[in-house]
Amino acid sequence: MIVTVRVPKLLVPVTGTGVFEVEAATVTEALERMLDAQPGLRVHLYDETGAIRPHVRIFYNDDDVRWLTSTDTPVAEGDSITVVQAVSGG
Amino acid sequence: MTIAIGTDKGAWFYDTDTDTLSDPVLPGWRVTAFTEAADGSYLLAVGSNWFGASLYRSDDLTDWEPLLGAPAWPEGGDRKLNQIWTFARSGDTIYAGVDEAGLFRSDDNGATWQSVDGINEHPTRPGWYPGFGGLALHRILIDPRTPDRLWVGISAVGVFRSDDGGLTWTSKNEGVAKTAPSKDFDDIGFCVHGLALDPDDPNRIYRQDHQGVYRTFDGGERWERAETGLPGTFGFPMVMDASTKALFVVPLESDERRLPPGGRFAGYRSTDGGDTWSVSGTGFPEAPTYTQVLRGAMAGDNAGGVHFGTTSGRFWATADAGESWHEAPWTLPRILSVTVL
Repeated sequence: MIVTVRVPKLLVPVTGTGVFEVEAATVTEALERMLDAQPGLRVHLYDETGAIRPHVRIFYNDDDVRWLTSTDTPVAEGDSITVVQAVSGG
Repeated sequence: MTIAIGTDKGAWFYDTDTDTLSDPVLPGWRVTAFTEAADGSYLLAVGSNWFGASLYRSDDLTDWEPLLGAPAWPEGGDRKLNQIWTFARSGDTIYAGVDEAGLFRSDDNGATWQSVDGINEHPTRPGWYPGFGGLALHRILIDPRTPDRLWVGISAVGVFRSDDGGLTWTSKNEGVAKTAPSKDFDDIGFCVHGLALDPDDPNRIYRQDHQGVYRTFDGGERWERAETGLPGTFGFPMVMDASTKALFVVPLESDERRLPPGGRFAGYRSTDGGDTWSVSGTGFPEAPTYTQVLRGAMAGDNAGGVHFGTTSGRFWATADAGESWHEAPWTLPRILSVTVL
């Protein structure tokens, strides 16, 4: 399935584009393919422990991937992965 | 000459010959350090409260490409790369100082980086704790005559020297007041902010600390206070103009306040090796000015030019080793780093 990945403007210097597509069967695979396509994203989205950075949110469609009980969920054509720069502080 | 200026919200490049300022580079990113690599390309370090720290490279200071390689702590460990604070280069080797405190080296123009374990795994490391600005290795000095002789400054920890290219390191803080004593280690707890080395006599080093201004004449074996004439002994940068041996600091009133004493903002200069200090020349404002200069935000070209940026985004320069100062007409975001390229 083709999954659309969107990144915030601050990361466009890393990716060269705000939107790109990856082919994947599950959410997990979509996240892996995202990093394969744009390896420069890894350091910006994940810390040294492998966790998503505290002020980064990654959505699979409308769901924060942190909240998914499993990321082995099959994806459907037209699904999206959206990286969001979390609103942090005032 | 080009002066690279890193701010909380991007980088700018100031051409002193044409008196022109570039458009912003990487707007929105905190830009913390610059260097020129041996191959003539330039490296720029960015950070972000959201997206961590990384490096960019450019051949022309206009088009910047992200680098996959950067200083990094091992994956799965408990140390995080919070910020790349500074670079220093000797020949083909670039050193980077980072928070959480560490020293990394690259011998391929910044493509790959290796941990300098002699300092990063120093026996005193269990006693290193962050200061107000974090646990940062933020200053690196290299002996220009003997590049295997290095000094690093780590906030709330102190100055360490290596005489063997970084394999082993020894604390060099005798004579300096302790700011953050360690329960377990007697030779750490010194909060160094700024360091400047005399390239013509690398045993002479000058030091702005959290609690005083110091100098050493023997490469750090023994430090002595050198602050006569300063209105405050707190501050961040310490820069030497090698052509005149003039030293520059920007004194602030105490750790607690961190403001120019009485609102009289000025760079101070010593022309006698730190024996005495006074306001540097002319040009600083008569009107109350409550701003400060961070440790990476002052740089000299060793030909009489000294440049600094303030936390309120103003930029000052002298071309005559501090006889006269001029304030640029433009205002940038909070200035973190100033580098002569």
